[in-house]
Amino acid sequence: MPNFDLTLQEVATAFPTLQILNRLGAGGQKVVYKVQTDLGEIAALKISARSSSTSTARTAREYEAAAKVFGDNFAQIFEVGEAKVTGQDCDFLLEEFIDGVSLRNHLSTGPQPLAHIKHVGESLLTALAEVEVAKLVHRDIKPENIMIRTDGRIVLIDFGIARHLDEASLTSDFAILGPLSYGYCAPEQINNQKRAISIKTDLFALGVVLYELATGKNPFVVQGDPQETLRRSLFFNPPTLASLGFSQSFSKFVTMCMDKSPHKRPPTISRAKTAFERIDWNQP
Amino acid sequence: MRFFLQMGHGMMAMDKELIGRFNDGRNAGVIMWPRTVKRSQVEHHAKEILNAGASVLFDTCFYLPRTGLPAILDYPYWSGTTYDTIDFSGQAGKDFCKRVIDYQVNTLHATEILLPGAYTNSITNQWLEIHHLFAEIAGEMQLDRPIYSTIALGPDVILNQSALDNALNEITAYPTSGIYFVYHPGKDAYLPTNQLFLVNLLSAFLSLSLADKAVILGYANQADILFAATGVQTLASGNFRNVRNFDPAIFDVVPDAIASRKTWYYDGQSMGEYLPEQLGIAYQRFGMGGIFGPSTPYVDSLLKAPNPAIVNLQEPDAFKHFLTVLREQWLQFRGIDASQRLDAVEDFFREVKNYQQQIQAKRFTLGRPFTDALSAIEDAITSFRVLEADRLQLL
Repeated sequence: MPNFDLTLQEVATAFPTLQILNRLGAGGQKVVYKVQTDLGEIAALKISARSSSTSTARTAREYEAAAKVFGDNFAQIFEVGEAKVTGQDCDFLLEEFIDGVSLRNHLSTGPQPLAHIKHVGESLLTALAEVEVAKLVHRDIKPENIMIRTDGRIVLIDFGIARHLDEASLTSDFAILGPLSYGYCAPEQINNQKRAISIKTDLFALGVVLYELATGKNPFVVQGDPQETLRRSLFFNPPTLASLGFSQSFSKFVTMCMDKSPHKRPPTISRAKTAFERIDWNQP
Repeated sequence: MRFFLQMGHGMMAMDKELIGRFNDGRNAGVIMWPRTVKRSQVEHHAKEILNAGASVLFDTCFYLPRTGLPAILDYPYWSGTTYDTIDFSGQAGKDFCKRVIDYQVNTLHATEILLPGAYTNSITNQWLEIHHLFAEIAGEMQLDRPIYSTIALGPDVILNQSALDNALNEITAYPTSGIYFVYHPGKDAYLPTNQLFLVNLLSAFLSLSLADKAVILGYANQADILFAATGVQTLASGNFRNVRNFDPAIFDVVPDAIASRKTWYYDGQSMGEYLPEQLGIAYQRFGMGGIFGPSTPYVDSLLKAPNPAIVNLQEPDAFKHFLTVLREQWLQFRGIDASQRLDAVEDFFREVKNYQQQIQAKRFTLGRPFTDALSAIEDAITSFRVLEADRLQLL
């Protein structure tokens, strides 16, 4: 199936109240544009072509999930809907444009300062608390999906493979496993233990992100060898952060989040926050 | 913290008396079973206990789903089920679970619901699927009372960390308010004496507790007081040893006729058990009068007699004494914050050791001492503290 793409004019015709500024990206059956609303807000417009029932369901799930979480650590959703674009049935999402760079960009400079790690950790836990309340699991927390706005605000994006924990219909399909982000996916995702997927799956990824921020290196990724990366996520216990010179309290938190068994990770975001607040950031 | 009576053979009269004495509202209760009583008796007894203001729960004894035991199968939720071939992970399992819940809600008016649970000594996908399905069905029914998934595990699972993790990863995410947990310590093992076994159970209960699952520990005995340390809130125990210790085999055979048996006195202080004639020897030959206790009205005459051997301790009194003392031992942790209970439990067992040492100092070796079990418990607490120091801080 050819990739879905649209000209600026085609988008402008389909969305006459928006001023289409430029194309931000495209992939598969989805294109994203930077737009200005009639209220003057700069926004991102995601348009997904309905190519198959599977991809349509996934898009719907992503848009619904994104619309269920609110707060400073998410892109504000302006509108979710369906539209006909160049005669083709599409789903669209109009959301706040995040003016900033991803955490991946920050990591290109190496290990991050403790103050920054603390800020990212606090923000992600706040975001995950909302995700938990909405009975969702994001399932794709990684530096690429964590945006840092120019004002320093941390925003968790891309609910493309988020799962609603109450939707029984989703528990039987492939979407539970979903595409894996190597190095960040939890053992229960790799093993397709769908009944063990929970908010603790996101805590595993959070632990990996914090470890990477502290050391500048993902503890599981072996470049060019995805299978070995998965194997390490399943079986390899990386050196503790304490052994690398970080405080015991920070090290313990990260180790607990990265436990191979979900039941041994902090059971709720509230409990994870309590543990995070106990971290002594003044220690080296 | 709550203490429930676990129904066994000949418990009904005892239930009524003890529930009245406990006078603890819904914090006291009876977990009924079908194994040794007729359905009409269960239903009548449920009314009696509810009228007394206590909790009523019902253990379906689904532990061996293909059991042929008529007493277990003589309930309406089995009707239409060809229990010898049914696949409980499918629609038939859903329907069965709904009927079990319906019976507890609408016939017994149970105050808390226990879902059926099959015993396993190895974690299979089928076992996981069935129990997840039962929990999901119950969750969807949005009942107005607490629902507990029944988890019945054997020693091979408990000793195998990976298997236990596999189960707990799912159990902690069940949409039920709690877990009715029963464990088989192994053949002929009344009191667990394996340190690893105890540590793994402590960790399992810690995970359940941190996941905000209320835990009822069924078929419990004095060794299970250990688990107050990790958030088990409700202990359930009964009269005979087959309801103070979970053995799945009893759910697959017709109950034995009651043979003649000995009557044991439970010494709460040392946690050992002694026959009256053994106490007689202790008093008469070792000068140990006054060492045993605490007393209850059921054993007062036994402990106060110059020679306990000549006191005819009635079996029901021995049972009521055991249950009364065990309850007091369990409820002493009621007012203690969850984060402090491990310390309190350790202090409790330290005190037990002191009493044991008094008995040992007299070189009295008769009875069923608690020494091996206590040794394993002490070691388990030490290991558990080290292994789970970080997670314990989350309590």
